[in-house]
Formats: sequence, C-alpha cells, structure tokens
Amino acid sequence: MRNAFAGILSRALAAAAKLRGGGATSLPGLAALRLDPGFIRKRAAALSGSIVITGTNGKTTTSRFIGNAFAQAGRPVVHNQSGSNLLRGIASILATTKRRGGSGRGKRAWGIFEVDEATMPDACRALKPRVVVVTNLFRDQLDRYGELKRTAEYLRTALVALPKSSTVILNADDPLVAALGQGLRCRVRYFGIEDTAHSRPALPHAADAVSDPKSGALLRYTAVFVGHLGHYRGTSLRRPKPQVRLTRFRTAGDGRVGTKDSDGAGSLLTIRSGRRTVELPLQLPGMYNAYNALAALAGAEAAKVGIAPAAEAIAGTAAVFGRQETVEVDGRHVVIGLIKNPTGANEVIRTLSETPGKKRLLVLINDNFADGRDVSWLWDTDFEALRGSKGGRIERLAVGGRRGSDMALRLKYAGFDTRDVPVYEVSGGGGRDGIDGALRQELAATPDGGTLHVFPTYTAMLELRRALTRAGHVKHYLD
Amino acid sequence: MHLRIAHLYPRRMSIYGDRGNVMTLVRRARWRDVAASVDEIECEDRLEAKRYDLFFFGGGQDQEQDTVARDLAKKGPAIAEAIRGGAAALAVCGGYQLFGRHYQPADGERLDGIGVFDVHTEAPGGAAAKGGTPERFVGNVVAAPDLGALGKDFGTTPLVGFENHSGLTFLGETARPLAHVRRGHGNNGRDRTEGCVAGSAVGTYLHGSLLPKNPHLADWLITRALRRRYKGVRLRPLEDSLERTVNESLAAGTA
Repeated sequence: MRNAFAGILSRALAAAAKLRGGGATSLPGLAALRLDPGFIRKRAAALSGSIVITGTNGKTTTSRFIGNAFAQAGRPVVHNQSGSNLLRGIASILATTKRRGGSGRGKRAWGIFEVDEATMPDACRALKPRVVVVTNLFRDQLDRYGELKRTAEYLRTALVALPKSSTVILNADDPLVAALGQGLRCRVRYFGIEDTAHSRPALPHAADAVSDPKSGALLRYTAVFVGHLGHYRGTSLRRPKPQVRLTRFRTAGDGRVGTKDSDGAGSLLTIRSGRRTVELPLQLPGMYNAYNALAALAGAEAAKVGIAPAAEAIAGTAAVFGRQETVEVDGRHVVIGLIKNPTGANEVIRTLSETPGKKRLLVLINDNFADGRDVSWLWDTDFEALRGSKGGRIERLAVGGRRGSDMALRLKYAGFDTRDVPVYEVSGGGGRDGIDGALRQELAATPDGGTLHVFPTYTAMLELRRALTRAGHVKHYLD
Repeated sequence: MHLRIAHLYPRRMSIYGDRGNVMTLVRRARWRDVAASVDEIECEDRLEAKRYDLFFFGGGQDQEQDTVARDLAKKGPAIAEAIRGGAAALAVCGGYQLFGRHYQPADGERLDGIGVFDVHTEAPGGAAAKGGTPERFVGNVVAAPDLGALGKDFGTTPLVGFENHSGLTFLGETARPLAHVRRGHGNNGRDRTEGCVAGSAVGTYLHGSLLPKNPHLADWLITRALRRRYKGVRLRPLEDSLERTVNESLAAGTA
C-alpha cells in the first residue's frame, strides 16, 4: 500500500515538474524514498532482472548501448537514461517510466541502471542485479569521494555481496577494475582490447593506477590505450585474459571504414566473444567508445541478448546527451563534447585535434557540486595537445562558465596567447555573460555552415542544452 | 641564468593539478629569459640533490605515499641538506607531510619525515580526533600571507587554493606558518594557520593548482631558488591580469 502510494505521488510530481519544464529526474524518486525507504527493492523485485552499469567514464553511453540492444531483441526495459544515477534517480525511473520495447508486451521488463560509484553498495543491495558492468576507474571528483582507492572499495563492497547467479563484467585493461574480480562468489567475465596497433608509447600524465598494489613497484605497460588502460604487468598482478575482446580496431582515418556517421568520425571494430566474431561499425569516435561497446556487448550477452542484435543495436546508436553530440543551429553545427575529468577530457581533446580543418572551440567550466567544486583537474588535463593539432589549428578559442577565468589561465600556461580569448563568466570578475550569451556570441562568430566545438562540464552542458532547447534546437530528453 | 627543478615522484605523487605548479615555475622563468629544466625523480632513479635549485613535491594517494615514504628514507637526508644549503622547495599536501618531522597514522607506528619543516601530522581518528568522526577538510581556502615568514616585500595579496586532506598538521615551536586562514581550514582547522615556511622551503595544503593563481608566491620561489647560485636576482614583473582575476574571484568568494 505504502509502495503503491509512493508510486502514485512520484508520477504526479514528475508530471508537474515536466509541465514546469524541469527534467523530473530526481524529485519523484526522492519523494518515493521518503515515503517508503524500501521502494526500490520492492519495485525491482517485480522486474525480470537488472543490469547495473558503473565506473568513472562511459556509464551513460554503455547504458544506452545496452538499452538499445534490449530494444533490438524486442525485450522491454526500464532505464534511467537521463543519467540521474543516485538512488533517487533510480527510484524516479522505477516510479515513472513506461516500459520500452514494443514487441515485449506481456513480458516483464529488465531494469537497466546507470549507478554512481559511491551509490553502488546501496543500489546493489536494493536492486539485486543479475549483471554488473564496471567500465573503468579514473580520477574524478576526488573532492567528493576522497581517493580512487575508496571508490574501488565501494565497488568491492557491492560486488562481494552478489550471489553466485550474478555476472560481473570487468575491464581487463584497467588494473584497478580487473583486481575487483578476485574473491567474488559470482561469475566474472572480462573485456579488453587485444589489437595493439593504436597503442600509445607512454602513460599520459593523468594516468592513475601506476603502481602494484602489493609491492608499490610501477606497473610495466607494453601497450596503453586510454588513460591507464592497456596491457600491464606488475609484480603481484597480471592483466586477465579477456573473454570479450577487440581483435581489430580501425578508424575512419585508416581509409577503410564506411560507417553511418557522415563526419566519418567512427571506427570499425572486430570483436570476438568466445568463438563468435562480429564486425561492428561504430558511429562514436575514439578508443574510449570502443571500450564502451565491448562493455555493453559483454553486458548484453550476460543478460542473454544475442551478440548479433546487440552488435547491430550498438552500431545504430548515435551520440548521447553531450557525448560528441551534434546539434544544428541556424545553419551551423554545434558539436558538444562533455568533459569532467582528465582522462575523459584528454580523449575529447584528442578527438578534436584529429578532426581536420581549422576549428572554433568554446570551453565551459562550472564548479557546481555535480561538476566537483575543485577545478584542479584542468591542470591534470593535456590542453597542450590542442596546440599541436594534427588535423589543423584552433583558429578561435573562447572560455566561459563559473570558472571560465581558471580555464583561460590554464590555456595561458599551456602556451596559448590568451589576450584575445573572450571570457564569458556567470559570476566573478572579468566576465561578460552567462552560458546563453557565450553560445550566442560564439555562434555569431561562426560562419554559415561552419562548426563550433563546445567542451562543457556536466552542469554547463545542462545549461547549454537548456539554452538550445529554448531556442528549439534540441528536444527535451524525456520526449 | 638557469633554474634547475627536481620534481619528486611525479608518477606516484601528483594529484589535484599539482603539476600546474611546475608548469608555472617553468613558464614564469622562461618568460623572463631564464632557462628552466625539470628532472623527474622516481623511486627507481638516483638523485643528485646538490644539483637542484628547487624541489617540487606534490600530493598522492595513501598507497603511493607509503611507497614514497620508504624511498624518502634513503633520498631524504640529501634533499634536506640541499634545502638547508639554500635550495627552494614547494611541498604540497602529502609532500608537505613527508617533509615534516613525522606522521602519526590512526593505527600503527609513526612514519618519520625528513624534517625540513618543524611540523608533525596526525591522522584523524588518532590522537587528534578521539571519539569524533574523521573529518575531511575539502574546499576553497583564502589565507593572508605571513609576512614574518615571507618578508615584507611579499605583499598582502592573499593566497588562494583548494584543500582536500584529512591529516591534521601542527606547527612545532620553531615553525613559521605560510599564512593565516580567512576562509577554509588550513593546517588543522583549529589554530587558523596554513602551511609552513622554513628558509626558502614552503609547505602547504593548497592545491588547485596553487602557483598559477598565486603568481606572487611563484615568483618568490623562483627568486629564492635563483639566488642560491646567482647574485642580486630581481625578476622583472609580468603581465598578470588573468592571474589576478582568478586570485581575486576566489578571494572574494564569487568562484
């Protein structure tokens, strides 16, 4: 009874919030949990099963891939796709979602939940997931979680409690994540990249898990793909052999790839799982998205979605919510690349620097709670790479957001001449205007048919989307 | 002139943008036509401490800090001697703690530091916080520089940065604080002191990165480091309006 009432109230709140134009991603859940702390557990028990996706980077994209794989297989799901990944977001979606996946009428739905790392112990206790996917662990918002090791401990607490019948999907190339597979009751499967043709010569500055947990000796890498992800060996640990593996990675730049993406930014993946091989043309750029595809394929397989429909669904997935998403505005293209921590930002920078032609870039840095109050990560990010763009130089650069001046300062010490860089700040000294104004003015400086690249932090991206939504360029994400 | 910097343990001890401090030292030297070079020193490397004008030592996560503390038992005496001989140093957070006299963990034996600073650090939940829940000091800090330690010429422009620590550091009798906290917690959240100065060495909890938004402290360190080998060093002023904007907006609490 309490549960039913909590559900009704949440739906009413969601409808009200949507009328006001809000996202309704957490308020209804908050209300439901206040009325009934057991709300998630009870609602989750009525699902056919749950998949939980966690890790620092790639949660939202991996979840979207898995959601689309279920849809492709005609299986209904409930899914917190807005990226609201704390308990209240999960409760909201359980209270308010209509089931997705048309042909699944009559079948009970699976839950697909992106879950914040620190929320994992509570979320897993309530959801009792059949499958857990861990993408990677990078430095992110340490001001909230303390240290990376503590984040790993949250995940360990969640994973050791899982029953034998659950499956945990781990990244073999991430020493911190792979180590989570030790001593679990449940089944463990690994994914990883085997093709070393695109490996980098050395660990980037932002690399995290550099030393062996027992001896403290630096890990030896024979290949590095993204951040500290690669082929490593320590004195007490070794990279596990992945069951789901990328055996060949080709980019559009190789000249042999025909993806659906008009910009040719994607890649062609050859993936082996057990004895099966699939060719997957991925629309989303970069090796980090190849990892997301591997994680999603392994997760979908563990939930008995066939590898063929899963691969097809992943291939058909366009960029989500600010992850290299392109929006058309008055004959100009706005390409949004969310940045929130050094490793993710380095990949977004790399993708841009490999894009041919002269480029216009607007970087929007906020320091609200959801972004992390600490902006020191800007100094761990390799903005220097923007200067030596392979594809062509940055011809116009602007910064904005609450910490726009900090960003300008970072660029100054990266060797840019910042005297002509406009600083659009919401508050603080030297600023001109908010994110709305930054977008408007930078678009005005972009020629017809041209492209403006925007790197926003999380809350800056939400503001940017609100500005674009108001102007009628993006649909509300719940529509 | 040539500024020789040793960056201690950058692979293991470099979080919260600590390397921005090294970038700032190098850029601000080069903008004045002073050559600058950085040697990265890991546990696996040999250190010839006498070669360097300036040591930079950043913060790290617990496991890495343990490994580094063991190695520092070997390299530490030479580093401390070089600093006593006039080399400058900037030690942030974990680096600051290891440059102190000792570190007292909540459980277990005290770890000896190299004693550049007359300070010691206690883990929360240890002697420092009996019965209380361990608190972590996280947030922006604004602090007034201690002119007794830094010299009158330093000026009154505040030091601003971001702290993120649970260790509580206490100054010994001979220690001088770097600054006095106006906003935030600093060394221990009780006596309003932040950091420590010993000769030309600065210890601090301020990340953020510290030096880009405190160019006056960056120039103080560069000047002191160069004076070790060059007479009458005076740095020419730079165009610092962006640095000032960031410093002021943090000091005003608008950022």
